[in-house]
Amino acid sequence: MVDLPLGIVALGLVQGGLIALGAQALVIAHRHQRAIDLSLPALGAAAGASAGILVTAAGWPFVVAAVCAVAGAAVASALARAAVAPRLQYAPPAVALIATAGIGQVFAAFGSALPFIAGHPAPTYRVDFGVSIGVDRVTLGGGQLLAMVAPVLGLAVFAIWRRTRASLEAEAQSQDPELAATFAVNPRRAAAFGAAVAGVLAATGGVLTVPALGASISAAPAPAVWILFLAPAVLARWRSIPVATIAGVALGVVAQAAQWWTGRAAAGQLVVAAILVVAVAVTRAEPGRAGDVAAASAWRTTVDQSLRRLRSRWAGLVLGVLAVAVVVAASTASVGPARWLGGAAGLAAAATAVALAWMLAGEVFVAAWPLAAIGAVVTAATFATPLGASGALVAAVAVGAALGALCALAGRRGRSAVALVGIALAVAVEAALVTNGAEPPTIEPAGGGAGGVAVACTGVVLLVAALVAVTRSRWGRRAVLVRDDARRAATLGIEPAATRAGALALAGAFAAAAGWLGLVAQPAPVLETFGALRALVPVAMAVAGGLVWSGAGLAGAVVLRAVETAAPGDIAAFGVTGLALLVVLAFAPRPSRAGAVRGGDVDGPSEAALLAARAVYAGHNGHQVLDGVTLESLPGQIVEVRGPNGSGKTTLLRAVAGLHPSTGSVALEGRRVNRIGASGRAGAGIAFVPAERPVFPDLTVAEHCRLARVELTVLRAVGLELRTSALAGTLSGGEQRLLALVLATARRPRLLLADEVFSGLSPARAVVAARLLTELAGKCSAVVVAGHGLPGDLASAAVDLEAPVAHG
Amino acid sequence: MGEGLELEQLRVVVDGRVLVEGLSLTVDRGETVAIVGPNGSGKTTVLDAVCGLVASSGAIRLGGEDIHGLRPAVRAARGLARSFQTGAPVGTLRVGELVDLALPDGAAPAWALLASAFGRPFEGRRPVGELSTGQRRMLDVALAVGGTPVAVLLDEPVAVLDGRARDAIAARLIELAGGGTCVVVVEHDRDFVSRLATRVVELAAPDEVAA
Repeated sequence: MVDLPLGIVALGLVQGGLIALGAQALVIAHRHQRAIDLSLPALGAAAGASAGILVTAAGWPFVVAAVCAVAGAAVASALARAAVAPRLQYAPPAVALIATAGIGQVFAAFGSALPFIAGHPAPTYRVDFGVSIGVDRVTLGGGQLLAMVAPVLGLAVFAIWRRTRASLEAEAQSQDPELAATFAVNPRRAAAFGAAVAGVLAATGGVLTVPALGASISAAPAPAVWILFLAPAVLARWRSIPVATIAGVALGVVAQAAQWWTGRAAAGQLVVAAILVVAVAVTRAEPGRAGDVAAASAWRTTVDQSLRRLRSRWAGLVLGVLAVAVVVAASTASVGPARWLGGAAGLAAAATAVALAWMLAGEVFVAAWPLAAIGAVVTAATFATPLGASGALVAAVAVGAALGALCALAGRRGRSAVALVGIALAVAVEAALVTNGAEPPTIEPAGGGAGGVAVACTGVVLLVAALVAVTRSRWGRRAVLVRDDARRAATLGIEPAATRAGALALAGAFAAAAGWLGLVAQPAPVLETFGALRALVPVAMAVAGGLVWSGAGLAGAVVLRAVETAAPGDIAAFGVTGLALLVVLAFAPRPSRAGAVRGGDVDGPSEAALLAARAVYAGHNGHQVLDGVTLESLPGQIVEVRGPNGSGKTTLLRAVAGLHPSTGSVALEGRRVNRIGASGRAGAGIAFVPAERPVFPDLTVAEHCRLARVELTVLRAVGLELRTSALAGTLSGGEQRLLALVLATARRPRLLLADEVFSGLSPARAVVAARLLTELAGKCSAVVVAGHGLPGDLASAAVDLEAPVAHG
Repeated sequence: MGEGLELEQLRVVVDGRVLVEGLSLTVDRGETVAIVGPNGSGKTTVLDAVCGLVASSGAIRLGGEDIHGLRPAVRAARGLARSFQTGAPVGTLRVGELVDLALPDGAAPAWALLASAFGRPFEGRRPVGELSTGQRRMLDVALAVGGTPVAVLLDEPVAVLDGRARDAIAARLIELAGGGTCVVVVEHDRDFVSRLATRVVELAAPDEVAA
């Protein structure tokens, strides 16, 4: 510490400034997307490449080129986000993370292709603005000084941004997309604004990186770069911009110092990987919120069902198999069937581990590939000893299971922690094997190549069979219950921590076995196989194969091995994750589109009715819930929707609000709103108070008022006027319901749909709720209330729904 | 009958806010206690503390045995059952699979309860995620009262349920209490409370509003 030269500290501050900018961008993106955005580092690199080309090949002044590149990046980021936001808004954070990695690969491909398009400009350049300061033996130019102070710019941008309404809408959107729609928040606009601000910061960092650090214009951002940005963001708990800034600057100094002390790039990588793991470990455990659990589970259910539907379409399946067969035939012709199958077997086994971790623990198991590499190392070390091949397998599986269980420990530290530890592990493996230039793990070919391939293929089939057996077992179902709702599982006598550790230990064992199988099939692999970027390949394969069924890894491996042999090198890596992204997007359920209307034969709405919903049909996955229901409401009327449990009261209200797909006609004041989405209907004067999760848990009461555009004084009616700075998630269930109700009535909607407003309200509060509804009806609005516990004299009309028909 | 569920000086503090302050309560075996109080008075928090889902201080005894330091799953294994306001967990599990996991020692009472609540046999093959709010709440209650727990804690069991389901739950709770189970119900519905409860405990309004 004492003999660290001042010049190294100065260089560390330059690098730290750039890391801080990247971390700020990640934190802002996370605040608005509730997921780690791995596309931002790639976006920054692409912006840096664009600015570099404009400066060195086109001869533009740096400032002009930089501004153009940053603006372009902001637009690209906003467009990409707006395009995928509606598809991914209900996805669990882990899946969104994979999707952002895919978007990142598209940006990275663009950045890497630029120098070729521009005819190979100068690899790097410097910008000094005529300034140069000597520190120790290092001379700092203007560009480097700019990089040092750049984080302050980031802080300023964030300070301005968070005061805007757009930022509030983006936060609301990220916490509960459906609820945000009922507040007339446009999902695409909210997502795009947040992404643009994060893109500006990431691109500024990228544009400054080339001249300040002497980086190459064509350098595509690898996981080793992401990890620099991830560690400070984790330390900031994905929320605090100042903490992310300070941690980023400090990390820059530490990374420079580590490299200076050891004189090896691998040491720097290892230190940074260790810091990320420590950052995850010191983060305070974050209890999962009920809302998150419900949203993620609902997403999984829908993906599961859409896949099941997909598999029942035989024509599509046959076409897919034919297409794959053609690609496989073409690609095996070039490398030979044995090598092709050997490569596919290792990949498929690793992808099986990813599928298992997803199905049983809901985690994105990036660690599968590094654990396979570690399994290969263990195999190589024990294969020639008296233990032999089977002894090597046992040793590898034991090591993999132990490391998998350690990953589960990290998983208690909040969302995406397991994926983060996997990235750190991948970088550490790359540093130890590839950067360090170590000998790749090899074994003496036992019984010739073809025999090894046969063993590997049998092994993969056994792994898939084991996966099927585990998921169907009682223990597997317990793991699924823990994954879906750990609190509920605990109260049913199932230990959540032990179950999750078991699931990830099993995934680790699968991954290590994949390393053994890969080595048996291909006894002398090339070193690059263990690069960190490869860690995404098994994940992408499992996603591409469909994640929620046992053959996911197998299917993905066949397709992606084909892609890989057809187009080797970087293009394959880009193609692989890009493909995974497309598949995720194709399967992700879209938000309810109320516009899908058939049946125009229904009579036009009567003139007097404020709301006229005629012959509404709606269902859940083939179960018809509403069968031609008619709901009309006159101005000033309070209509009660009655019916036994399961008769579709909630579905009817959601269909009218535009949150559930339905057919039939819905008209407000004589104007048909069928083709308008939920946020458009909210803007047209339809307010909706949902029965479950009626408020945004992480917004304060005052922010709710700002979002709804109502004065704080309306809170007096429900006794919340002294709690304006409380987070709505800390209010009791009844208080949340009243807050939602008062916000809805204060907006003076033409129509209020209130679901179960009276359940769970104390008698005194029920009187307040009834008064709010009566007052609104008195102002010539229509009110529709569903649910139980309505005061007897409140409603002036009623609609009765019938008991559900038994199916199956 | 002997000691059932005993809470002594129970205190829960979350993020510096006192949610439950010095609550002492004894529920004898076979007794049904209703916890009532205004919204925000900490009713759900009391149940969470008894189950071990939030950290608390004070003593919690079940059947004379201190369970305060035990993990939630161990408390459940000692005979503590619980239903949630949110209903059964949404997810990919099917109804039958969930019932099977929750009640490994026989689920016949749970199926009978569901059948009488809905007036027809309940489908075991449907994914829980597809059920309506009321069906999920009913299922969750059935998981809690389908066995023969030492104590059962129900959080607003009937708030979103219709009359037939309420009757079915009430009948099952009377049956359980007759067998010596301690029943604790958090519920606003006065009819339901007065029908079942042998005692009503009222929690005071939250006083941190003034602070």
